[in-house]
Amino acid sequence: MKNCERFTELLSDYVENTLAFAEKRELDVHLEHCSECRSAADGVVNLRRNFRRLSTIQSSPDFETILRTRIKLDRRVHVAPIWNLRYLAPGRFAAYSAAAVVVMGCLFYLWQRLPARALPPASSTIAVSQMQLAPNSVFPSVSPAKIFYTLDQVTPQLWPNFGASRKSSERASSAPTDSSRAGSASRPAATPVSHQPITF
Amino acid sequence: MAEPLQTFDNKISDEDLIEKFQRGDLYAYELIVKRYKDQLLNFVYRFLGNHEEAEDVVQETFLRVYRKRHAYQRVAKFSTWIYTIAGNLARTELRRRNRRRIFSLSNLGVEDKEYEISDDILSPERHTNTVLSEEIIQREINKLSPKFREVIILRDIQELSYEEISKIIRVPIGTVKSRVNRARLRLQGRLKHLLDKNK
Repeated sequence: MKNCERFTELLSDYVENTLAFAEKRELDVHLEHCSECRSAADGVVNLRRNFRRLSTIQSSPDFETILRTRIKLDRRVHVAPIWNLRYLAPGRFAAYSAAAVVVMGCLFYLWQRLPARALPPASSTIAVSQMQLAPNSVFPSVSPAKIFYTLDQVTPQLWPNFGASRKSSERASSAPTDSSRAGSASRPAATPVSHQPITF
Repeated sequence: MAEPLQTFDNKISDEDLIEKFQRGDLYAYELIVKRYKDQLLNFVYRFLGNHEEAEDVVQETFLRVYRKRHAYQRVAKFSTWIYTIAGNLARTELRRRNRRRIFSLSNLGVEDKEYEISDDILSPERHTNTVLSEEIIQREINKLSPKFREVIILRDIQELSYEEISKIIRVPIGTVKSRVNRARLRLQGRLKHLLDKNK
């Protein structure tokens, strides 16, 4: 039994005649007594003989034509990598340069236009001033004077230049004749700012 | 005039041909195709068992050789390189086909499934009076698992050396020998009745 296992392991070497003389002799002796192993060895020899007799498969007559077509199509589909020198051909280089100039011009134009659209820094000050401008806002009972008072309190902390510019513009225009504030409660002095809590 | 050119074509080695092709000689590529198309077709056909699929895989192999020609380096034999490409593509095709089969089997009705099984359990006794045909051998080869199928085809049909097979499928020589041995034992067991008739 042990010899059968060993023969099975070495069967291919045995039929291909690649065993050392001593090993081959040993297996020959085993085969004389073991019909099962002899049958297996005959079977493998027969199998190899039949494999050699198998007909050769021929490729179809248009094999090479199809291949050539596939290669042509493949060339069109596969674009050459960016580092390929053919991109630097004179005509292409001029076209790419023109495209690059157009793109850069567009970017420059957008960059020039952008600051004009840009909003001042968002803060609660802006929100308050917008509330003052909207007549039917959610705070209809708040008087404009109170809002300006509140603005004077808030803006120096959030937007230091706002108060100064507004005050100077107020000084230039005649503040007492402002009709919007004339009839309402008199506005407290702009300076000094009293630290009262902001209440609506 | 054609004779000396043919002699030159036959004398030039595969490695020289691929080098010429790498330098842009398309005639060298055509010679490679002529030399290998039938060899590869036989290998892939025996592996897949379908002529149409095999031809498609061989076409794809040559397309890969064309595209990746600069990937080949002379440290390896050209035949090893091209067989490796073909083997990988054939294995991929087999996996794809198995996925398709699983999907289509799951979609079959009961009657279809029965028909499928009855074809599989075809009794060997029914073939005792027929000559040993290639279809029977091919079917038995197809029943082997891909790792055994691949080595037995490369060794016994393509007649490549163990060393070359080991390089193509990237497994040690000992493993290749062991797989060939087991594949031969299985096949001779399954084809015994036919082999005995065909002695």
